[in-house]
Amino acid sequence: MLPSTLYPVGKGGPKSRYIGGTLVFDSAIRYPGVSHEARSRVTIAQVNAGAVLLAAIPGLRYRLVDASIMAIGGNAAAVTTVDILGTLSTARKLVAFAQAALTRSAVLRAGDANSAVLADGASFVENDANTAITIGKTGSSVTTATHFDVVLKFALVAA
Amino acid sequence: MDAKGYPVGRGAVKPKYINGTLVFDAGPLIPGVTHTLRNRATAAEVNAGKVLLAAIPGFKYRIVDCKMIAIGGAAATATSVDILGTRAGSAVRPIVNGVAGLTQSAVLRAGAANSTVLADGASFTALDANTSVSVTKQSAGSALDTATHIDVLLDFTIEAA
Repeated sequence: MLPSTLYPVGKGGPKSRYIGGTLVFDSAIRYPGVSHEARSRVTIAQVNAGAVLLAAIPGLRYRLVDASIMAIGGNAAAVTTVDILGTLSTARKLVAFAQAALTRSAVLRAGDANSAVLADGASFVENDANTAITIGKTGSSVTTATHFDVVLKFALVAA
Repeated sequence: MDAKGYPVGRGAVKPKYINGTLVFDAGPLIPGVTHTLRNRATAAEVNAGKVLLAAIPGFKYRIVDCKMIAIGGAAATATSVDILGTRAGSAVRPIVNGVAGLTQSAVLRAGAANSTVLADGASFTALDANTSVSVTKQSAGSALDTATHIDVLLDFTIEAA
């Protein structure tokens, strides 16, 4: 059960209505066990500095379901890998996308060639509760590409 | 849905806002929504067959996507590790992952090399109502060996019968 002391923002249920026969909610809703998806367009400056893709949620753990990335505006250069980072006791690279495959407009999926995941399925094991999922880089700063589109599929698991 | 299909519990799940995100305390199954399951099956469980998704009266499972990862070593000896379902009263194998693609720690996606899906998209159509989905080895093949476990990451939805 989620602790009752962690509601700093808002109260009550989401507002919903039928639109063309489909029930639509006015806010994002997170259910444990449901595959959620987040698409983020981040600048190379954000990648070089490190940026949060999924903010930490007290009492809940992120579990990566899938990830893909696409270089925008040019091929990624200079960098060694662009990384999706999580925390399980210590920081860890859930997915390391190698520069060689970060060609403009190409979809690079987790676990494909030039896209390393952790040994023995550890990339898809839930991370620590109340920790964020971030993007960063290994090696030199990214150049040439202007942005990356990152699509994360993830689930939430109660701590 | 048949009202007799509620064998466990009553009442709604409890939503709460946490840092601006509305979060539910349980994982309801919602038709049309993609759900995700991660299950680590031992080699013995794969050999015997392990239920991943229990049958739900009045609802059909539809597989959306699947990934497998061999743990502890490359899968060997078996012919394949399969997702097993039921359609039109007969067993079907929507995803057949050849052991050649189940190398340790590698992500094997449905439909990729060494991963066979059914003809004409049939792997991704609804299975029979009130039937489960399992992981198992190819029935005619030898038992799974060398790998200690198989991680199955199964994306699915449900449809009303």
